[in-house]
Amino acid sequence: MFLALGLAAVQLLWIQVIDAPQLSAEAANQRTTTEVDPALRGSITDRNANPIAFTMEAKALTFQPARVRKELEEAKAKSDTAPDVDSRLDAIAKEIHDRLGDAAPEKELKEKLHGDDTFVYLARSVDPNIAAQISDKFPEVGLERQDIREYPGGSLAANLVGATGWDGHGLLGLEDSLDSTLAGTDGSQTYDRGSDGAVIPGSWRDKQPAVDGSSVELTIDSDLQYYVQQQVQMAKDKSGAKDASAVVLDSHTGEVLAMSNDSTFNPAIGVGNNPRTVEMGNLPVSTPFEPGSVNKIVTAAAAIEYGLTTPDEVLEVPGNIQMSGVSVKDAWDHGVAPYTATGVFGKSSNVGTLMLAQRVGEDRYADMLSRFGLGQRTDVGLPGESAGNVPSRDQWSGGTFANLPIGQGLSMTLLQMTGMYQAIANDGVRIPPRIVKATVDASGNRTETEAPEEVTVVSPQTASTVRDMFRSVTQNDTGNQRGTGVQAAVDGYQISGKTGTAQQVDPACKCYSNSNYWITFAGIAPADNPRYVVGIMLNAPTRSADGSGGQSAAPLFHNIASWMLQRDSVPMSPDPGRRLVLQAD
Amino acid sequence: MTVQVSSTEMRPARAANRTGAAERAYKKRTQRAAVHSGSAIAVSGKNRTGTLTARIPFVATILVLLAMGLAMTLLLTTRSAEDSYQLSAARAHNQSLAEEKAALERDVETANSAPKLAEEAAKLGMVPANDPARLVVHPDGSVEVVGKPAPASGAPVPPLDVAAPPTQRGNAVATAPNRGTTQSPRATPQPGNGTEIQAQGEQLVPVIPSTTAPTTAPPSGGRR
Repeated sequence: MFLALGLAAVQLLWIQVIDAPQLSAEAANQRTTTEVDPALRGSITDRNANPIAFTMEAKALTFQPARVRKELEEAKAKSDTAPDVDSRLDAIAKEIHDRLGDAAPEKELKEKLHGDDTFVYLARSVDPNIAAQISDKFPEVGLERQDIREYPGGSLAANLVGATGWDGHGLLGLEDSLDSTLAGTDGSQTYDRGSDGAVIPGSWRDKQPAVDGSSVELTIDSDLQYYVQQQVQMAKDKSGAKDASAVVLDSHTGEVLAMSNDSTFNPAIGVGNNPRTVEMGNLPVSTPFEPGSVNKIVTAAAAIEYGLTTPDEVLEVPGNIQMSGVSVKDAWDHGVAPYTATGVFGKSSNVGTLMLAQRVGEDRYADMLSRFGLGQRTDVGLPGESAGNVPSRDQWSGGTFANLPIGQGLSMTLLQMTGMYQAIANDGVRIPPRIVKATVDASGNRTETEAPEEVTVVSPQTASTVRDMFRSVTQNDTGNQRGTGVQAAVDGYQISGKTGTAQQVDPACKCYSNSNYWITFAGIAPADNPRYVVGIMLNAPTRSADGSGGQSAAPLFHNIASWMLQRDSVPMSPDPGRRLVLQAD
Repeated sequence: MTVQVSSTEMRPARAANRTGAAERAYKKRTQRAAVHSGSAIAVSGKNRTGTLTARIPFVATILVLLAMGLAMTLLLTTRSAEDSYQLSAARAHNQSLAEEKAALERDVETANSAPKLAEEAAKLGMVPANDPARLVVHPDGSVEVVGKPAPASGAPVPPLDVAAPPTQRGNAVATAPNRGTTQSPRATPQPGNGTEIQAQGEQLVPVIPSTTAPTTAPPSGGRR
């Protein structure tokens, strides 16, 4: 008996003294659980706080087929009242299918349940309520938290916002470039739990709260963005262009009100589920092009600013001009025509423009190009922005100065192109465009984006004069006083603008093509009291933006401008503006 | 001659004349007398602690205190554990309500979005009104019509989006940010997949039916 007592004493001693630390550690290991407190991803909203992208929680249904089947078989072997393995699995499949409908086809579920995998997902993005009910009924089905990103507008602003990937982080667009702002930081907390999973009270410790992601407010106007996207898509379809894009800026703040290209993808159905033909990028900032005649505004602004011409000066413009060993002619044949300076731009005469450019001179012209922001990124805040390409002054050859004023031999993005007209709309002060209006952190503190540095391009008088001159583009007339972009006019408002036709490069002959053009249009509405600036580009269309003959982007401008002026109840111009003389008699 | 002192008779002691030894001898005699007579006589000097029954109240008090202490401890720990279960249940209920709320919010936002409104308008047969005529009221009260008033014509604009599979919308529900436990410890043992099990980098195809997306299509978001 003493022996037994002795043995017991030794064992007690052993457990309590020698083994104690290890056993305690094992026990602690079993009970301690560290739980990750996931951070909620910030939302992306438009300028009126309408959400464009936001995160919601759902559940994914998980299952471990091999293990559960084994457990069921063992339970069945022990007792006859336990459910039969196959019928149980079928019941699970049926229940899930009944609850989720077509999202979970019964056949697929049965395959998974009967399969040999160690782990499968039965369904994803399931309503948490429904998921909880399924799991209550069939505890073998597990639940996993799944954050899903909702895009209530579908493809609205998708080219800007982009999409998130499977792991909840951004894949493309602003979701990717602003990921560190939006994602936040996960937190954690530790607690002890019993074998049934219940929390042992008083055991919470090491709580690190999660820092939710900040929300980003864009300068985009959702309704306008949708309208522009729709119109751009229609213009592309009707004109037969390879692609089409449009940008709308606010005249006075330079904020991007809408930016769109055609064939935008729909992130709401999953990035990978979109057809292969969608455009995943954001053409207005990523893809530069040669602007063509839209660039003539640089010559106009320089000529007026340096007092080299007046709007009514009559220039005797020949049909072609020799400049620096290059011969340039107008798009239509004519002899020496008495175009006014206004008419040179209203009719888009290359020769007239080059005559005025010669007065400006190469140095002043190069300076004006850089003041207008060409060849430099706007730093709008969107990923993948291109700076375009402007040959630097010391690399100009003879023919360069014969090309640049008419918009060939340099490239710019649609955003830069629209930015030039914004400077003229804003009394000569160019404000680099921005897309992010403010950031709101998880506690609601709002941080406005820093205002960009303004660049004075020309004086206010010059800007006003140039705006007035460019009204001639939309001036309607049966005779010589007709501008090239009459379709852009909007009844009741003064509209300033410029059409553009730039030859694309033909890789076969490494020369400029005579059949493929970049068709551009930029306009200011209304011209007498500017509110909006719109820039449009159609890539190699065969017809006009509204399907009519010719190749013009002016009808698209008309639709967008008319819609905006109506939507914002912009007061009509008090008078249609003086009748401009494009060609002297 | 020796005088036999009867045990029943006590001679008063002449204290002043006694020695210590004599005193002790007298005491012993008294005790013997008490033993013989069987009566308990209190002896001056040392007091004995009381008999058994006198001790009972004190012990009982201590026992009662002890018992109460144990009972209180038991009660409080049980209550605490019970509260813990109740807390989990309340959290779960709260979470499900929050989820419901977020689902409704999500539905409202979707229905309120520009594309959805345009779609609904198109379903009603509405068309975009291009170039409305405007009425200008001049200071003298006369009204001028600018533009050509005409009924809006044309076909409803087709929706912009590739249509999402209809059932996917119904399933995906959202919850408000869940600050509590995401997988609240369940009161009943959960022999299934616990929260500890995480898929490691598995490429998954979303379980949605789509006529354009075969199930072998690359998973959404999986392309890098």
